[in-house]
Amino acid sequence: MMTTHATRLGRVVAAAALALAFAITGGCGGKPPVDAMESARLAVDGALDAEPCAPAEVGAARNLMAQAEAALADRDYARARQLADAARLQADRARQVAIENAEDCNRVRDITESIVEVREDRNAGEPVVTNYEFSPIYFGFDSATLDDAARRTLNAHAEQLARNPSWRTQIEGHCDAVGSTEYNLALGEQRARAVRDYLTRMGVSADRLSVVSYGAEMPVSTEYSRNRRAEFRVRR
Amino acid sequence: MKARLQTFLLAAALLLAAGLMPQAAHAQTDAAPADGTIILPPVQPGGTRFLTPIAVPDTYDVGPTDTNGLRGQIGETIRRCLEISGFFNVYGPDRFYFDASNEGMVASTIDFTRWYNVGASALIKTAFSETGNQVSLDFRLYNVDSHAEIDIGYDSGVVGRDQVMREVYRFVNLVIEYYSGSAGIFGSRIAFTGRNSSNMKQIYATGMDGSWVEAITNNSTINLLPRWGAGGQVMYTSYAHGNPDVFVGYNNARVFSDRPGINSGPDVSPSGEVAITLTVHGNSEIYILDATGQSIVRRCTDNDAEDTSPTWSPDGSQIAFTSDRSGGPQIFVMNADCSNQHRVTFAGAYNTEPDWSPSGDRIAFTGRDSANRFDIFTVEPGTNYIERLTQDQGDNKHPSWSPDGRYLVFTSTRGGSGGALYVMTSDGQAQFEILSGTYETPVWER
Repeated sequence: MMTTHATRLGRVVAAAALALAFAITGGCGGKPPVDAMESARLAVDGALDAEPCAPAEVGAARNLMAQAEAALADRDYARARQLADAARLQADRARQVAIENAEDCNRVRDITESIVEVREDRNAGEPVVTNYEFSPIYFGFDSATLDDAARRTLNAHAEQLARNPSWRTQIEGHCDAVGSTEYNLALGEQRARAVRDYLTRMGVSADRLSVVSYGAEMPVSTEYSRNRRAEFRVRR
Repeated sequence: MKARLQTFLLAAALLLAAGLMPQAAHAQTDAAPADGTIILPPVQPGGTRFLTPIAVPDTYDVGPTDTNGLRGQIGETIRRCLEISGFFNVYGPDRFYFDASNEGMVASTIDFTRWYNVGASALIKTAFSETGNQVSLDFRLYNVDSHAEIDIGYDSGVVGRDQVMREVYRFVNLVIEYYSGSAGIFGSRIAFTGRNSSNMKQIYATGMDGSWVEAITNNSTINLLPRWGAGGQVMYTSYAHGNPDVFVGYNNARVFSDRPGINSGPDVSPSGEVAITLTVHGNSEIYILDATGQSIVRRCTDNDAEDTSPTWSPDGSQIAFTSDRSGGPQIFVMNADCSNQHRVTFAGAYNTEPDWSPSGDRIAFTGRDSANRFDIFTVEPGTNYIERLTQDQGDNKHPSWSPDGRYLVFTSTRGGSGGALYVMTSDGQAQFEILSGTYETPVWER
């Protein structure tokens, strides 16, 4: 890889030097080289797309173009024309190199991007796994029955618990404020137990699950339906 | 009592005529009728309580100074207690058209005609004088018609400063005894749940007139469901150890039951056994523990339903409790040995919080009516006859009988309150707020 690069860089430099020599010998002074400058700018701009696959060549073209612009500003028109022509040739060369390198270059890019994706996946994935939100599930009035939505949520929770065997969770049963304190305490426990039993059936070991009822004592909303819930306190 | 009985007989006759006698419903199985098909009854128009008109002028301070504000406190407390008792129309200074302060304590100095013109048939005269930490008290009851002092057995005398309110309650209780046949119960205690300054639910106690409040717990967790245990100690459920456990005494002094799962609602029988709700073996079931709470004497219920809130009959022979085994929660009764479990409420779909009356003939409970409001009801365990005590005044919950069975304390949201403590007579006819605020689950010491 290093060898290939060095070789290519050598070719680039040689080509640039040739172009420069040609420009100097064939140059004529006096008027601003407007056409030569404009052609060179278009060529260099057009070569920017080639940068991923011919970075050294494009870099050299850009460099020559900057020198040409500087010479123009210094009113050294002969030198400006030479540098502009060199930049245009170098830009053309860069595009050629990019086409030659395309196959390798794209393969490398694909691999690199896939590595970036994997890395991003892992970066995004690690939080998704460790920060997986054990969202609450909700119940009907005076009910500890798990509906379809609750089961779907619990299926996802069970999967996370299966992937992370060290995690333990306390299931908290809660009730709305309707009804008696003591009956709600019992109902909250029944809800928590229904969740525990379902997770157990989904393969989560019972010794990783504990239940506690808070009855109607810890409401999270003024909406009764949001308070009839089971919450998960997970030790990760 | 008589008025209520007449009401019951009238209601029974009407129901019989309509083929809806409660016994008829009771004769069916526990599963029928379906919940909610029979609605809870409205308050029955009952007889009007006879209220003795009694005048209670301000207290005379015959000493040099009233350094402790006793003058206002004594008169106000007597008026408030007599009012809450439900036996009196109490007339205070705002009703007098004359200056009552120029009268003396003895009959010869009292212008009874003026008191008669106020509308009073009874007159209470009080005086005190402070000497150091000692207070000399003079409390008297007069019959306005006969101009005579009534001997109610109260001996005025000298007491310590901290005993004055106890003496006021003793006098009031004797006045109530004279007019109603049995002594009042001012001085008894009511435990309840409220929130402390950190917004955490704590256990408190107050008196029947709400004149004082004492903290039983002050911790940083949730405390619930106080009950009165042996020796006047308060038992309650607290999450102090992370699980709903039952503790006894001030500030989680002692663990009574910390079995895994719920430990709640201990109720001590006359013999000292403790009925309690536990989830140690599954869902919530009713157990009988020994007096120490350490061992399970027997398990009363074993099913998939929620069985909670046991309450002993006064003779200890039966236990009422809440169960949702037939659908929504209803009141059930069983023998003390857990046999003969049967449903006693057959109206309404959500009946909870039973409390068996000291006289044994009624079980008070909280019912949710067809308008989804909570109110106080009683059911007669023999007949299953249901009587309604509150209606159309907010949500009314968690009744608890007074030790003499003539009153119930409960919470009410009437008037926009979050859940003030109220005391009512057992016929529901006289209801008074004793403590404003937001409270839950009051229980009277019996």
